[in-house]
Amino acid sequence: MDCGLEPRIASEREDAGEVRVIKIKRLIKNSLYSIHDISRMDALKKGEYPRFNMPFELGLDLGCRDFGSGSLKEKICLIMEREKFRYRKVISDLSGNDIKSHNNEPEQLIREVRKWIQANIISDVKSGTKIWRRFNEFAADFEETCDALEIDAQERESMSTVEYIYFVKEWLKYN
Amino acid sequence: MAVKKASKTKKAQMRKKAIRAKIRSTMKVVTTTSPDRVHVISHNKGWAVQREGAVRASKVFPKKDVAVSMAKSLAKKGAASDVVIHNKDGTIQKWDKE
Repeated sequence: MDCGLEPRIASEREDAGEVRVIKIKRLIKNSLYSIHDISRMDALKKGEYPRFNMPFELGLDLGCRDFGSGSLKEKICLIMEREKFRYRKVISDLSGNDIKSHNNEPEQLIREVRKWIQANIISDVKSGTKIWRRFNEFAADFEETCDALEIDAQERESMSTVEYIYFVKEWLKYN
Repeated sequence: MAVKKASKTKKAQMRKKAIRAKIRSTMKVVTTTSPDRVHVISHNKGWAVQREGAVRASKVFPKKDVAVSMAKSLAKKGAASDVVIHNKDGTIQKWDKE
């Protein structure tokens, strides 16, 4: 968002009657650019099942580009993983793709995403160092705003991505 | 039934609008860049002591506790009002206010 892009997510429209996968398919079809982080293909807790939503969505996106026509053929995506070749153990079909790793380091993730945006979408973007610094400053302002609005730590943890995006948008207006 | 559902949706939308207006007005007050605020943030060479809004870090240390000490000494000397210590993911670990 600090590079001037608008994130789209399936929960942006709160219509419980709409099937989630249909929302996702529509977003994929309408988005020229996409970022897939498949580093969270693990169970959240020991004994739970791993989660495969992200690789499933990545598959839909890659399929959309390959089987679609017109502008769908021009879709560009960034695939991110935790460690460089971990994905080979679980999704070996991706071996031919250029997958970037972030080592679970948010700063590295920002740098990789920024590099990809600069190469494919906007040539004149802020440096990774600047975006990381601004992200940290946002985190402080976010906490201060939440305190002022009496949004406690638990509520912050469970805040929807849509609401969080709204905080970011408002912050960017003044920074 | 449909009318009841529609009024419920309208109420929810109004509530959402009111919350967003609150966020907007609070964010506007809170987000003023404060050069008196010093952040300790993760850096590719360790931990940086960074004044809010400054282009470059004041200093980078390999260890976080040393960076925190430096930031706190700035506050002691009166060169900073707040010291905001971040976690590795950017979230706030501790906030020392004047």
